[in-house]
Amino acid sequence: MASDKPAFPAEYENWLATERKVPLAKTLGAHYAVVTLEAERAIGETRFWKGLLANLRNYDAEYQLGSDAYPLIAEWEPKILIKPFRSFLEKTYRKNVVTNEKWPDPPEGGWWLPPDWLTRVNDVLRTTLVVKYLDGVPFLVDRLKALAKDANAKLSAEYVSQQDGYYAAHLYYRDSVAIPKLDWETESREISFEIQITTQIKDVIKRLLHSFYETQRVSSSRVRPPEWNWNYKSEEFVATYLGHILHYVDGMIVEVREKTRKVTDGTSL
Amino acid sequence: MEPAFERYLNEIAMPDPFKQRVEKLLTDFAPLYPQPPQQIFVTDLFDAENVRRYQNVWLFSQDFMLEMKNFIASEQIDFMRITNNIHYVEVVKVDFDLKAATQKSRLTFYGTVGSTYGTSTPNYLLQAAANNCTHLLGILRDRFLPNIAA
Repeated sequence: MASDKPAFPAEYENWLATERKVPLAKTLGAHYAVVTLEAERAIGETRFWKGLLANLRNYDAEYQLGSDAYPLIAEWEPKILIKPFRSFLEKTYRKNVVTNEKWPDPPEGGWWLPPDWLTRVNDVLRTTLVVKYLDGVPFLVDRLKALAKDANAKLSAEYVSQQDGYYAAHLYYRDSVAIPKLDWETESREISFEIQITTQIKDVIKRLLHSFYETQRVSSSRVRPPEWNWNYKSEEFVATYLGHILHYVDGMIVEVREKTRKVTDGTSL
Repeated sequence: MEPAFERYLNEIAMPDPFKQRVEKLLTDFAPLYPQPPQQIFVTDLFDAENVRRYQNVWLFSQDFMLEMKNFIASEQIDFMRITNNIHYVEVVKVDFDLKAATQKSRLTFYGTVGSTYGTSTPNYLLQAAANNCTHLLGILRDRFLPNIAA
């Protein structure tokens, strides 16, 4: 029954401690801080990440050669970011509680609990690569896949398009990292590093609407208000339709660019 | 590619795909060269995001200068005889003492080659940023100023 579901964060933390015998959130948070710092350092040392940084200029040059000198990269110094513990805990809450249709039984694949949850949450570490044009997204996805192959690394990719107007490519790099367990012994655990590739225009809007997306993801009870899609003043209306429109605009910009090129080349009309 | 040319492209931090493009254009246009190229130069600038951008490739031989405009997107070349044929040079410098270039240094010069029948419209423009300013200064001193028409 949905009414039995704990709320986030206090009830959920209590549920974790009492029902699942997981240490208190304070202890988990301290452990998480150490583990993720170590994971960030380890990922930063990988051949894949170093190759990515070293190759951005080459990718940009390669793209320019195929696009009449339009540049690819909009953000030149991507950083590895650590998911804050609260966001991490919220994500496990969504998996264990909010989207768990079998509640109070475990969700498909089992409870999201320590120590495995570090492996299962796929964006403990993440970065964002920002490109100027829509066709730069698949271009960069292909380059990073090739880079991962050269580095013998595990990398999966998906093109995300959501009803709430969110569009991006998400790549997941997975690597085994030596990290401390809850008892501070060291273990080797596979950690996932999410690489989001988005366009400059979407990145700007994502930052503007960050609070909306965050709230929407976390809340278990958030229901879109009735007829939100006619209420142009609602957050839902603005975020959703702005997202879809900007995706369309992103596409049109590339379309116009390609048409201009054909006219200049004399390959059209 | 001439080792000196490659050295220069490395000095201005040109990415590999552009170097390969330059090499291809140098080879493709080689049958048209009036004389063997002795020196290469690439106009560059830093854009609003402080990213180095490359524009035109110039080649200098004993008597000529050759320009490949917008080499990233185009395949074109033009030729100008410069020996005793420079009619006007205007030099603009920014943060450059004409000795040691810094990251902020910029050097541009432009003017006319050959008779322009009384017009003052420049028909060449070379510009450089950061360490490329030193290379451009050498070209100004060695190839343009000595060739100003009497």
